[in-house]
Amino acid sequence: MKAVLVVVGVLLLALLGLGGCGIGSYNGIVTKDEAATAAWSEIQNQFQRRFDLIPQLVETVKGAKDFEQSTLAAVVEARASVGKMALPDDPAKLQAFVQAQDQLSGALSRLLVVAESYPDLKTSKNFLSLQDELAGTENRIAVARRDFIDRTKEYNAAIRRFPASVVAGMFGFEARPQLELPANVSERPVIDFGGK
Amino acid sequence: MTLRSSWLTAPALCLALAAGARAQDVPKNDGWVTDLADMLSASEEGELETLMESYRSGSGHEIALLTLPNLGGRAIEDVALAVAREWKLGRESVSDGALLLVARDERALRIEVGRGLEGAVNDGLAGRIIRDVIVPELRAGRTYVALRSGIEALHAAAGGDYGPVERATPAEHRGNPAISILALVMFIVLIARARRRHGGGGGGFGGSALPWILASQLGRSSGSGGFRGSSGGGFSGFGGGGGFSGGGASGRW
Repeated sequence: MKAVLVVVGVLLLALLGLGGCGIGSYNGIVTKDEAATAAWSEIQNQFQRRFDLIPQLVETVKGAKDFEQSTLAAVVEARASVGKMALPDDPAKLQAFVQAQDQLSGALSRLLVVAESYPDLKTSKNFLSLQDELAGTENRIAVARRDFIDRTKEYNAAIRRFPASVVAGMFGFEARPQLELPANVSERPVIDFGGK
Repeated sequence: MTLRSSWLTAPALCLALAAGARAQDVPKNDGWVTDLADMLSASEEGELETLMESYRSGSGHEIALLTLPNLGGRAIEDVALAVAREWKLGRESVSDGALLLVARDERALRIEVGRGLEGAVNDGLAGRIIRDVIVPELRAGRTYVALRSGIEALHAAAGGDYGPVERATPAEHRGNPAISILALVMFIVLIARARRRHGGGGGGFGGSALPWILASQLGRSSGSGGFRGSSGGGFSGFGGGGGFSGGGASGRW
C-alpha cells in the first residue's frame, strides 16, 4: 500500500515537473518567435525609410548642374521595382525581395559616389544631410538584418532542441525562413565623408 | 530504460537551458569617459566626466565617450554598435543613450544614437555635429575642445539641460572615524541595556531616539564615498537601456 502511494507520488511529481517544463518551453518558443517577428518588422521599417528618402535625394540631385542621368535613372528604376513587391511570406520570395532591396542599395551607393564629383552637391547642406540619412539607413538595414538572422537562428534552434521540440511539434511551431547575408556584405556602400 | 531516464532528466535539462553569454570583444567601461587611446589628460577627463554627469542628472540622457587606439580592422559602425549595446547606454525604458566613439589611428569617429534619441538626434544632425563641430577642432589639434563641444552639441540636440552634480568626493562624506567608533560602541551598549531591561523580548528602546540617531550617523560615515568614481563626477553606471539599431553618423578627420 505504502509502496503504491510512493510510486503514485513520484509519478505525480514527474508529471508536474514535465508540465511545468512544457509550459516553460512553450513560453520560451513564443518569446523567440515574437523576437524574430519584431526583427523582421525592423528590417521592413528600415527598407520603408530608405524608400521614402529616395524621392528627396532624387530631387536634390536633379538640381545639380548636368547631373549624370543614367545613375539617377537606375535608382528610380530600382526603387520602382522594390515598390511593386508585396511582402513575401515564403522563403523563395523572401530572398527575391531582399535581392531587389540589395539592387536598390547598390544603385544608391553608385549615385552617391557619382555625386562626389559635383562640387555644388558636396557643399549643399541639404545634400550632405540626406547623405547622412541614407548612410544611417543603410547601416540600420545591415544591423536589422544581422539581428533578424540571429533571432531566427535562436528560434529555429529552440524548436529543434529537446525537450522544446516536443512542445513545438504539439503546437505546430515551424521553422522560420532564414535570410542570408548578402554576398557583398563586405562591400557595404562605403560613403566618403569628405575627410580628404 | 533509456526512455525512463530521459523522462527523469527532462525537467533538469529544461532548467539547464540557460542562454549562453556572448563573449564580444568590447572594452570595459570606466565612467562617462573611457579614454583608452589616451587622447585627454587626467584633468581634462575629470572635467568632462563632471560635465557629463551633470547632463545626466539634468535630463537623464546618457551620452558616453570612448576613445580607442585603433579599430583592429573592424568597421567603426560595428564597434560602436557592439559597445553601445554591451554597455547598455540609456535608461532601460527609453534607451535614450548615445556613444561618441573616436578611433585614434584610423582618424575615424562615430556618433551612435540610441532609439530613444533618434527623433531628436537624427542621422543628418549627428553628421553635422561631426562635420561642423568636432572634425574642425580635431584637425586643428584641439582634442579636448573637439570632444567637449561634440558632447555639448549632442546634449543640446537631445534637449538636455545641466543639472546639479552630487559631489561625492570621499573627504566630504566620510565622518570623523573617532566619532564613528564612539557611536558604534554607544549603540551596542544601548542595545545591550535595552535588551536586558526588556528581558530580551521585543528589543524596544523605551522611546529613546538616541540609538537611531547614532545608527544613522554610522551608516553615513561608512556607507558612501567608496564606490564612487575617483574622478569626482559621481558616475554610478549606465541605466541598462542598450536599445541601439544602428542610427547615427560616422566621419573622419
